[in-house]
Amino acid sequence: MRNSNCCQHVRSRARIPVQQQFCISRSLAAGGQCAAVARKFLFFPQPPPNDPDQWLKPNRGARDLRQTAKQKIVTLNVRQFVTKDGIPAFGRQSLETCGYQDDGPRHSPRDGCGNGIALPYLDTPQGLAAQPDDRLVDQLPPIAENWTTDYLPGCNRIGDRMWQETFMKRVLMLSAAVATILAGPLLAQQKATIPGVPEIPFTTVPNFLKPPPGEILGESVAVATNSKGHIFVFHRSANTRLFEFDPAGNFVKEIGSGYYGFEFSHSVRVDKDDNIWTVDEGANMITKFSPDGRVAMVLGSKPLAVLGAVAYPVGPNPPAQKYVLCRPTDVGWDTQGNIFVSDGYCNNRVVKYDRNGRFLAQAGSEKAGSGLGEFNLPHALQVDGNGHVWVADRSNNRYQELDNDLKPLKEIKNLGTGWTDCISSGPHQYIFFSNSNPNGNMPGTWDNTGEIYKAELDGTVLGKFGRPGKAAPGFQVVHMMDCRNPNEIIVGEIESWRVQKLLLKPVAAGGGSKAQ
Amino acid sequence: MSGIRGKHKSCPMRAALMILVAVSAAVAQSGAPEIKFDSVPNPLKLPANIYFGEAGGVATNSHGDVFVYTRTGHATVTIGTSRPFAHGGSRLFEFDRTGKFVREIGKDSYGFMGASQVRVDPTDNIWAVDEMTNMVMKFDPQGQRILMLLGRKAENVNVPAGGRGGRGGGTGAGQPTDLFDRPSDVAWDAAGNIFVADGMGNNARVAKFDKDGKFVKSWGRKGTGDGEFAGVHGVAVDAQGNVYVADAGNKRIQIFGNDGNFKKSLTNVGSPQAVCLTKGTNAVLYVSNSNPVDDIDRDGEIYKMHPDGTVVGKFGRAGKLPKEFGTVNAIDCRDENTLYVGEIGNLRVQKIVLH
Repeated sequence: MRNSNCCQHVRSRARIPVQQQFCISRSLAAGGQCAAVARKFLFFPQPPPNDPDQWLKPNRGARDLRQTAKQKIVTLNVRQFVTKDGIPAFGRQSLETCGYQDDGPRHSPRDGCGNGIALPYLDTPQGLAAQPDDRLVDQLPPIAENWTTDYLPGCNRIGDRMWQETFMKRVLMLSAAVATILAGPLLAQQKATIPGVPEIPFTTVPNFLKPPPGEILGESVAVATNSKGHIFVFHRSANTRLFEFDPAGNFVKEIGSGYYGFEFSHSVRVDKDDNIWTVDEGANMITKFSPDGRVAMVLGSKPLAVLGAVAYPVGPNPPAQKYVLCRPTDVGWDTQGNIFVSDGYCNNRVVKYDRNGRFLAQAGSEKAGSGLGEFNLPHALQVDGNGHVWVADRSNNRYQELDNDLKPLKEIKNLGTGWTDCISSGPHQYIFFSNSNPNGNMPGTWDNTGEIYKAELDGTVLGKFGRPGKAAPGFQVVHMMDCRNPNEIIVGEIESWRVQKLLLKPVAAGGGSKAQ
Repeated sequence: MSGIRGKHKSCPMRAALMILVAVSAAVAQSGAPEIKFDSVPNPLKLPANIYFGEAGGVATNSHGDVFVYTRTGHATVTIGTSRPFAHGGSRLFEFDRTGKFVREIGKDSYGFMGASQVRVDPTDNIWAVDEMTNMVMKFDPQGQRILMLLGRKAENVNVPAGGRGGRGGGTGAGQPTDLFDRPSDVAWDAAGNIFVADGMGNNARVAKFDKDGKFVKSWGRKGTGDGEFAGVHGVAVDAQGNVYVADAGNKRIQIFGNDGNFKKSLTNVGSPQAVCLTKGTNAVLYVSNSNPVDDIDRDGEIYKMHPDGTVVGKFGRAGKLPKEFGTVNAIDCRDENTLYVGEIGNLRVQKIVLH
């Protein structure tokens, strides 16, 4: 399941036309709270087994469910209610459902809904059936006992009178927007399988960055340093903003206040000449700022404002164009200054431009794929001194190494989910890979993910460090790393709105397992 | 609810873009001589906390002061209101002739959302044209007071954009009124009559007002014939009162008499998105065959020509470097050999010196 939070897709929403959407209804328990959630479900239109435990037992997995029911995959915007007692585990009763199919409303909203089961499930490149049963169930997110739909017709008290086309048109976009903000994802985060990697001890610098008085960082998705050790944080506060700090973490200045190309930050990188490049996945623009903070070049463009609000994109991605980016994620350069862009959440490609911004080549396309040279959410990239491009191919749970012409060289699949990577400077380059714990952590996730790997460019893994945690030095969704100095890693985190500086301690050579 | 208007905008816009894509490959005058030129580095110095967005318009006054009307972005639709209201998104800046920042004009104005042009009239009044509020705003030379307003901003907006109906659908003739739909430009004749290019939305016409702002007439409709338009992107008026209309979708400049009587078309300059006519009797016409925002591998050159259609030469091409152009939307040619060029794609204004 990909969802629309800052780092995850929600394209799957488009698969089910409105009239085929099902909804789940339960009355709201007193005292509950709710949050909008966009989730994909396995829906079983037939009445469920009499004994709900048959499908709720923790040791029964999706494989069995798939074989015993004519399920559909549906995508719903739902409100998840959290009871006063906290998030309950799986419900013990079948969920009432009602639905609309191709032949129109089956049930009026008031005459009771048909029975069925809707279960969240994991969507992995290998598909559901390939998932180990126990693991699948373990990773299923908690389901509240009480659900109701978010704007969908016929299932909640609001919806009773609102099954009208005009209303639907109006609210679908709004509900998408709400879900985008609040969505709790169900992510197929993959545990790394590489064996025998030694731990690298480290310390974190306490209270590293000092924002201006009265201000705080927002989601700190992007961080980078320049050659003087200044730190640039491209973060999501009420508006997306770019802050500069000195090496000691003191605030220096803001760059790009109110700038046209800032809408929803995703990456910031500094090139060898100390130009600052911001990647904005809301504006679909990449901006090169000169070292003094003026706009030097832009890649991509916003939709013209006069065309009005852009509805949340649904349906297949339009063909990728040379100069149009679609929620780009990252930027890098080779030694000649050619520009490489990972693009992104809706396109699934890597683009190469020359130093003047002219299109040269792309790998992948608007379509997601899992073959070599194809991508499914290329979420970050960096270029090594040989001009090779290292792509964090996140929803494929891997990294890919491409040559300078974007021909694929190899994939790395044993380091977990490829969230982001970083290549250190200097003649001997190290590469860091982050198997970040996802947004919306599921029970057990902290045991499986969150670590960062340090490796040679030949794939020899030297060690790993870090683990999830709300408080430093824990990581709460590392989104980007700076590793100009391979012994001082600066990480930006999404869910803790924090930038940490990590001082790695020397470690005896060991491990030697290969990233592959 | 008076003044609410449907804005059936997105479809015509896309159609216009497709026409542009379809026809502009075979641009004329590839053999026109190249004019040598330079781009003055960093011609306008912005304060640290101000950035240009899409440069909708740039113009100079008689003192050489430079005005830039730019889409700085982040137009806002408020929620928690009876209807969706929109505001913001464009700003108007003034610089002196050395490029030093002087002031912001009309800060947070009700009429500033989608900058499409700024022009300065013969007595140095500043005219801002906005394609989202559908207004033409005349400021005094100091930018302190509004002297005249043409058009009216819709009270609220449709979210998402579009919707059924809307003004001027069908023929594109536009309503025969003094309201606009994505106006793109404004010009004046010697008597002070006002000509508004209207526009890039459903209307396809030129609207004429007298010097006091009284609506006189309009002409044009969607189409390809004489006096018909496909995207009215600019307008200029010569000393004799002839009206030059940048008919981008039809890849031509149409020339009309002062009351809209068709005279001739100039068809050798690609898809004109920005036009500028120098003052005086030996006027020179500059025309930008602007590249589409999503492609820098074609078009982008600016033509210098005589008003009779004779091309003197051309300069520039699409791209991101200095001396390259990213979808030029505005040209100021008060000085025949020192041009200010506003770009949509590169979020900048270049000062061009022709040799």
